[in-house]
Amino acid sequence: MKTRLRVLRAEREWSQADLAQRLNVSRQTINAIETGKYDPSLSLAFRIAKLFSMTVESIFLPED
Amino acid sequence: MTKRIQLRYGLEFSAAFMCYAVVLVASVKLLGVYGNTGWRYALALSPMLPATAALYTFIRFFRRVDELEQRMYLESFAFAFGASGLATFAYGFLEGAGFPHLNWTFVWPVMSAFWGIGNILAKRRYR
Repeated sequence: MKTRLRVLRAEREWSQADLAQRLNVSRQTINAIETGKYDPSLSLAFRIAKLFSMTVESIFLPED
Repeated sequence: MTKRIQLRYGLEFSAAFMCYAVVLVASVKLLGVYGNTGWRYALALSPMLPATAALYTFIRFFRRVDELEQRMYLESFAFAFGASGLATFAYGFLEGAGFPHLNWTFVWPVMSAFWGIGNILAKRRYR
């Protein structure tokens, strides 16, 4: 799954560790989501969307 | 968050493991004295109580880590389960060909070793 998470994080000048702390997950999870190695669960996707005040669909895009 | 969870797990597990070591030593000594009485089975199994507490601390730790860490642990357990099964069966066949018989207590170190390998493989996959 493609994601705009890295771009959104950079816009706010947050490090991966900052974002991880805000979402209560590990920095490794943030890195894995940004590099496309891991697709977050629905609940985590919604928490990410809420943090950025955006919809899930605007942050996560299907591969094709 | 992760460091705090790991620290707490480290403390809880260490406490359980220390209890296990103390009970193990005590059970061995007491078996030397009461080994021919009806208490021998209870004494022999007594280290399993703190060992069960150690298992409980791990389950608490597993429930606290985040979703990706849980997935990595599950993948490493799956690898360890399969690889341990293959290894123990292979050694069973080798015993039939003349290899020395091994105690069942060897199974846990084999599983732990494969779990360690599984952990490395899982972490590498999501790096």
